[in-house]
Amino acid sequence: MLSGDPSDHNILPVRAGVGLKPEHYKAVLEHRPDVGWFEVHPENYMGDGGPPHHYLTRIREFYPVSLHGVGLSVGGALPLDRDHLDRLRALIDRYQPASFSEHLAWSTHETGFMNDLLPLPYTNETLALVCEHIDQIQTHLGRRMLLENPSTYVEFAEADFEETEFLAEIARRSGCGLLLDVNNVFVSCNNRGADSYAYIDRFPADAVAEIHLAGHAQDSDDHGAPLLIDSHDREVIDEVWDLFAHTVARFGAFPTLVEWDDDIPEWSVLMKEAKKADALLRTSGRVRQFSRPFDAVA
Amino acid sequence: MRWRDLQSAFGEAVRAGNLAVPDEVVVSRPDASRNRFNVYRNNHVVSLIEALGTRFPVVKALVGDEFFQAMARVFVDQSPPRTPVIIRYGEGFPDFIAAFPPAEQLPFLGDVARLEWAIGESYHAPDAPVLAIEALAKIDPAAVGRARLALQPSLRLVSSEWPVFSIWSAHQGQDAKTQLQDVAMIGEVGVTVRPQLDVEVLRIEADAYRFISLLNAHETLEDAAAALELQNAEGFAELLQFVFGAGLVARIAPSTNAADDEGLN
Repeated sequence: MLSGDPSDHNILPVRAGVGLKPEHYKAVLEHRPDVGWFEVHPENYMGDGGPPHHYLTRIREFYPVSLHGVGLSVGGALPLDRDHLDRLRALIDRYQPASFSEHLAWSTHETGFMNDLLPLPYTNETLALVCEHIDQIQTHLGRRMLLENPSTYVEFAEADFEETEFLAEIARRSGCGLLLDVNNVFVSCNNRGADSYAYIDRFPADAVAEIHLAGHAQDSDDHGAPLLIDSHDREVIDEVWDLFAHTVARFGAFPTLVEWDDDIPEWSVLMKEAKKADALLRTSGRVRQFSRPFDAVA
Repeated sequence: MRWRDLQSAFGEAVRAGNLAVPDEVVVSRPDASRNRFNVYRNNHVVSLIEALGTRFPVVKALVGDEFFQAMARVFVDQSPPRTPVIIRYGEGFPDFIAAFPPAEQLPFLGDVARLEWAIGESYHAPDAPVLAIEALAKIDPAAVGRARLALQPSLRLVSSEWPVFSIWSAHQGQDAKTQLQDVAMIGEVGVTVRPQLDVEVLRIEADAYRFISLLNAHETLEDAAAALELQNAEGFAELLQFVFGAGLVARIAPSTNAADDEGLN
């Protein structure tokens, strides 16, 4: 049986979780599907009341929840938005999420909020900036955060670090954990013409705390070169499942999210993806903790 | 180049498709084009147009996808979001639409957008209990007239020279009770409110609208009744029944002290 006691929901179980969408609120509450946890974008819960809080409050009674922010602009040169930090703190106090994560990216500059996760150069200057921001965030929120590797489409001429070195240095200096998005690795490496397995093998194992999986679109640029877009609107492709299996074999099993943010499918489609992720986590032979039986309610 | 300056150049090039991509931006794949920077341009504008389309679905249905995208694109360029809370983005969109020359042929479009903005506000407003009319019976009868009603925090009043409620209603899919071709081109008033979990969109009579406006301005019941200049007491009782019956009342506001009330009279 699923537990109704939120006290054991303060850590993410080493299982597949699913991105929670309003389309599935009612199905989740009614059927209590056997997924390990749910993740939401806190920015979608920054209204005062209404259905978003109503459903998240109830779902939180039965599942651990992770807040995955998209608005802090951790890699931006401007000071962090204190109002946004306050809003995040209020949500963390209210929902006691098992995890809070953000992106190695920027979204806000002088002209406003860009509503996208934009890239930054990996230099000594930005390393100091990102570490300072993470320090402020962790202090303000009173907890350790996780930082996610980005999907990128371009790079910068000036670079003092490889992305994996940069993330390792951030984790070492700031004490934050890392969220390894395997789909982002695949997308970025292919877009750069790099080897995604080599990227995983260079990734700082000690800091990994969560894994993300998602679908991406396959396009090409105006030179005809392949261009992968991190669209979160379809199933995870086989090559990314293979890369995930490699990741689990190398680092062990971690809480693993199936993300799907656009063209939201029936719940059963997400459930199938979560089961696939769970099966791969189990075969790792290094599962540390399964909080619930797998053969509970489907 | 300092990151802050490079970031500005990057952001401006994302926003303005005619600006050159900063020289510091490169692609390391030998066969790749630097035009893949356009992915960022596209993500930025498309994601915000989608957010507006979600917030203003009837406006979008009235003008069609293509027109909506073009109109929203101009708005996004002029009024980008200032905060990461995109559920609050689009407050200026109704005024923008009302003044958008290509939409002149649909003079009600800005007011339909106002109604849709109000619906979204009701959706995200603070929760509050619904008070039943029986609560009035518990007050000292002599004090009822001086009572003030605190209405739902989710209540929004919408008034238009156009039949915006009927137009909105005609776009509610298979449940639509109104057909667009049957809508009479007269002004309408109403409220959006969320007494329970779902937002209700209520077209109401002019008297009820005025009464709710007065209560919303914290008038006492007797002052509101006087301002309405009703013909008889039954009319007032009906209005009270309506505001309680529709779940608009959250609580009876603590009465201010008698001296203040005297002073107001």
